Amino acid sequence: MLVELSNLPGPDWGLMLPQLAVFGLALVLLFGDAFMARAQHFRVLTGVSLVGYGLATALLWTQDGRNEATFFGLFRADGLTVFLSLVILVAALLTVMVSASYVDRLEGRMPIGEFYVLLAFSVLGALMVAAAGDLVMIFVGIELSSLATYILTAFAKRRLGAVEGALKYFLLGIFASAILVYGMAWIYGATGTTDLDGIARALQTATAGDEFLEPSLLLALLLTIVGLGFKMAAVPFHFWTPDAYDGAATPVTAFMSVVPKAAAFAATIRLLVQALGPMRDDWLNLIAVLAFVTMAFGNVVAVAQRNVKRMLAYSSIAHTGYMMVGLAVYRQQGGFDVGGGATGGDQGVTSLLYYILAYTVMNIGAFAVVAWLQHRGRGLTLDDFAGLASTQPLAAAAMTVFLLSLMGIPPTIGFRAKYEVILAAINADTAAGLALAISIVVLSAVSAFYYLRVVAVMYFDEPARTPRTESTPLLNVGIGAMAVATLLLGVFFSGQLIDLADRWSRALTVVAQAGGGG
Amino acid sequence: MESYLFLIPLLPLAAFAVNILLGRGVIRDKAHWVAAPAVFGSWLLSILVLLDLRENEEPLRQHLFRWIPAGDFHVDVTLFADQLTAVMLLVVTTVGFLVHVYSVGYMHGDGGYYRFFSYLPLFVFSMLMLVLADNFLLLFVFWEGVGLCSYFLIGFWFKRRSAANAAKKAFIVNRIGDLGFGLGIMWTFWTFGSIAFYGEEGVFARAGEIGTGTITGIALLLFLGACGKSAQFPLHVWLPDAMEGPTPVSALIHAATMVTAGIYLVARAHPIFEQSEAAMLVVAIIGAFTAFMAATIALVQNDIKRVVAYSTLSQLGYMAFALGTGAWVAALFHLMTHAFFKGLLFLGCGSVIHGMHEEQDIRNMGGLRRFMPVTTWTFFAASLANAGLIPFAGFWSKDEIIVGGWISDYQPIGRIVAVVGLVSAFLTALYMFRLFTLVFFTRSRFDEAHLHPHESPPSMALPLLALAVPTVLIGFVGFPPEDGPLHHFLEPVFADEGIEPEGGEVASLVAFGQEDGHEPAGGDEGTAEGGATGAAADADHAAEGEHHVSTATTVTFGAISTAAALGGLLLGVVAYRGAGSAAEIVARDRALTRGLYPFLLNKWRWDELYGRLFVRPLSDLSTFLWRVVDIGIIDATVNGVATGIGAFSQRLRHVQTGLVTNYALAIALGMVVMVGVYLGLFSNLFR
Amino acid sequence: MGELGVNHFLFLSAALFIIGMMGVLVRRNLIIIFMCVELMMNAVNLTLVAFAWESNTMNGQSFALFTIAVAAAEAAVGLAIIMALSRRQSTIDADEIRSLRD
Repeated sequence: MLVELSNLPGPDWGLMLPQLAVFGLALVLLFGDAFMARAQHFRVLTGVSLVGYGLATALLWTQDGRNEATFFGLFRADGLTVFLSLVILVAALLTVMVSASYVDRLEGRMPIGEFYVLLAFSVLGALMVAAAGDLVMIFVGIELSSLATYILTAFAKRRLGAVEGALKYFLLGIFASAILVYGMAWIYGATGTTDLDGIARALQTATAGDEFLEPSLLLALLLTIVGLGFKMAAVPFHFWTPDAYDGAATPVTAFMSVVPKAAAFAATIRLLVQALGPMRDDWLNLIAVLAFVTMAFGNVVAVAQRNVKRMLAYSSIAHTGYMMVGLAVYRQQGGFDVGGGATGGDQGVTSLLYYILAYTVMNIGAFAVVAWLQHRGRGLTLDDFAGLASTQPLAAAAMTVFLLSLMGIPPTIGFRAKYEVILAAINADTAAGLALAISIVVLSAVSAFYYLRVVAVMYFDEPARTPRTESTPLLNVGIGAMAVATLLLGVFFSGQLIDLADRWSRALTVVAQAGGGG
Repeated sequence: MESYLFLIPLLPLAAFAVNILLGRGVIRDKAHWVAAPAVFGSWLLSILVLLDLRENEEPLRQHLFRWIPAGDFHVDVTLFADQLTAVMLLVVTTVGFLVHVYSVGYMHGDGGYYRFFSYLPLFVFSMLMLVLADNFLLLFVFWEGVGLCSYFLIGFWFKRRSAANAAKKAFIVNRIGDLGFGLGIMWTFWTFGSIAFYGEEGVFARAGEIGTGTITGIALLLFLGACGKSAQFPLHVWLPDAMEGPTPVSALIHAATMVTAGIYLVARAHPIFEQSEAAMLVVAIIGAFTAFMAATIALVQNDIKRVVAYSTLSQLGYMAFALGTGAWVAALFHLMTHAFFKGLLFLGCGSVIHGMHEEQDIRNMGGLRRFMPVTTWTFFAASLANAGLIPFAGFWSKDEIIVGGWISDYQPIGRIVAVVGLVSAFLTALYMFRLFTLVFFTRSRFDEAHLHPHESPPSMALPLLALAVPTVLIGFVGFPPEDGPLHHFLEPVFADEGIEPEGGEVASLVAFGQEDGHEPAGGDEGTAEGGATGAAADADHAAEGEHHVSTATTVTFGAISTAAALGGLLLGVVAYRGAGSAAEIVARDRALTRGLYPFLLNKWRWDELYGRLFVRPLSDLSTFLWRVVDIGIIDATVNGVATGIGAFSQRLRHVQTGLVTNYALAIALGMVVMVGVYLGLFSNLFR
Repeated sequence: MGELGVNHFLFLSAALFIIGMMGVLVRRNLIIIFMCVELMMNAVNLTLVAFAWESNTMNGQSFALFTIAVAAAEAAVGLAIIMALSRRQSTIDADEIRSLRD
């Protein structure tokens, strides 16, 4: 293992421009927060954040169509990287729009500079997971993202709920991380490498003849799934979700309902599909069961909620279940081809990726409307939504769009995404796939109950009191953009987006260079 | 060069967006300044298209984006403009623009002013997209789009109960047609694996490869859609009721443009229809029947707009039977002339109604020429055109249709419909001049002391005058008959007509005058009797390839139809001259129609028949389903399930205890269960 | 017993891991729960180093270094959150913290 230092290939910095941009943004924000007058933080740092994330999004072009690795395979730029980074960066942009005025004005005026710094680091961690080519990278990325999110959850520290939610999130989070990394350690032990492609290669030779896997590998797999299940908020590892979502400030809730989830799915795809793909027969059924339990539990419990934020928390658990269906019907035939040659993506995973994108827009949108109402002195319960349509018709219309999309009503993006998942499940041509497809349809009907209740309250009840007026231009723009995207992206450009998601499969075709370096 | 094509529909769409978004707050009563210039812009661009296509015959195309990509199957949004489209574009934008101008006066002061000027450009947009579509699905989308706009605009005064009902009726009847159209498109896709019109994979290029049964089925389903939109029997019942909408809407949608969409569809799909003689036969018979039936009903109606509406039905019938006899260009020609003179008639009606302070019953009018001269004389011109008097627009096109029927390949049905057409022409002149006499001449039958009719404001009068010009002159684009500029212009569209109808009835081509088949492969033209006029007159190429008419035929038919029209005109004037009271009019109606009067007054009793056949049984059935099945079974089940889930949910929520150690336990237990089950089931560790 | 093999380390680390996990489940003091998780992380480190020793690769060792760094960061964040909580509620008993539930 001794290598002449001078012989080491230098890292290819040009390959990781978007990630470097976010890193740079985090540093700029850090220094800006430290050295700039407090009065300027709101205006300048919001602008810097928007520009920074916008720049990073634009820089994704440099990775588009590439399929390379650097840092000895730790970092890779491929189709999965690009798509998930896009989702994460879009979510970051939207979060800045949603949170700026909230953080600055509500909950006792929180320090906005620190908020943006933490946000940037959390985003950076998620981007690292999306681009990970190695177990170490996945772990470090997840932890960087999570640690920043723990603090963000506790950011409204004057409210007990925020700190309590953060504490629960934190304790369970590190507990799950320990389980996850223990599972990774066992994967390393069983295969002798931490490189994802290397693991796959080792597994392929190991599982070629055996009917049964080594128990140590099974143990590793299960521990990993527990750890990832926690991050995704899959039942029964979801318990932190309602409390943390409920406790956190609304923009933070919007953020952490999307970005950590996207990071968790990135890690899951990297780990289960890319590294542990050869033993997919062992995890497919497990994921299928978890998917079913997750969507059933989330949808059923959401029915009983009267707090809209908590209702959305349970609904996000249900959506995790829908997304997991895409993973549960993964069926790339002939195993995984490390040497290249896999063509076309897997429909299940493609639908999962597209669903994350759809979920990002509509879920942040719904939370954004909640935040918008909080600005105007309304609370979080169902009664606070009464008669919204007569006092603030545009907000009610936007909320209706988001809820209908979450429910999966045509022509919204939520419908298109759910349709893709169901299609993938049916095309899998297995009993489990069919059962999952039916479950999605039935449970969507259940979900109509609690989503439509909000719509009904907004449109048919009498308003309780007159709201106060407040000007939140950035938030308004964000909500408008998300509403339009939710309405239109399901019909227009969905083909291109699905094509983009389809390129995830190129993650599997990095040739042996990933193992060597450069 | 064709890059400007997208602007044609985009301008009205932008006008719609601006007015619907800013109309209530910012624009209000200036909404027409947004809408009218936009449509004017489209008009200018349409002229560009026309000139462009005259220059070189290649159709224009512009690919916008891929709409539905689904594996091998994909639907592109591509704009397509050939000569047929160009004619439609011109008609839509010309009438559309004039109606916009007219509406400024007509809708002045209406509460929904900005709303009206949002829907109107939206309609123009949909209609333009409909004619620019290059595949069936896109056409269908905007087919529904124009239907939706029509629905909005019929029910524009939704507080009026009759308007709301009429809107609903139009909607439901059109659904039946659209169902057929939709099925037709699916069948097309099933058969051809494509829904594009042209190109290698296009439907039309391969229409000949399909069995007669299938192609007949597809054609008939498409025609069912056309029947709904163009109000052909038996789906005609919605159009007269649609007159509840504002009159400019009637002029634009229910006379000039939307109702001709069905005609356009059949003309566009002519390669399909040509493959099926049976389908052509159905189209011809339905068209001729509608033309005749509607003309008889129009004889005794007393609502000024309804008379004109039934006249529209009748003229659409003419177009349909022209299509059915293969006289494609004649149908398009009539479509164009009709758009102008019928648009003018409706705008004239609107002017009369406006001037008479919302009076629509012609029994309470009379002598209006003294009050509104512009309306009177433009209405007169339009009446002559509608009646088909030489040299007004309607004469040329109607005459060509009748001749086309007489000499068509589809005999003996062609001759029968030609005769029906002549009879209908007589009736047309009769009801038009009954209307004209009763409204503008005779003594006034209203209380002049209280009601002061007035001429309309310039914004309404100017469009009348503007439309009067094409009403008088547009017929000459089709002059000389069968060989006019229009025929040459449209030739490339219908030039591929060399395909003969299967079943080969071509032998019966021999007809009254002398025909000249002009089919290199066919070569079966008859040079039979009456060849005195000789083939020399029509030695040059024909407009339509199939029938080419000798001068003698044209002149003879021109004379006959002029005689019929003149006869009707004179009868109309004579019979109703000097009618002094409402009762007297009814008496004269009865005298003219004898025992048929109640039958005609009740519109052949179709509404009653449909009511008894479909509406009442359906409503009985739905009441049963609602009372017993829905409330008793389905609702009970659904409510039960909902209650159950709610209760379950209330219990399950307490799983969330709030205790962090419980949550950790859940994670650990989940892990242990998973590990236990998996190791037990799948590993050989314990065996 | 014979020579010290990789399995000895693995059993030791597994035992540590399970002890830590049980601690998380049964203890009520937030600080102790937190320390039990740290114990689990150290069990993981031991496992990683043991495997690295066995397979004679460096990956496990470097992974363990990262894990230690992460654990340190977790400690900082965790203690800060617990401090914030105790300031608002003056208790660090896990059973007292249940204002968010159902």
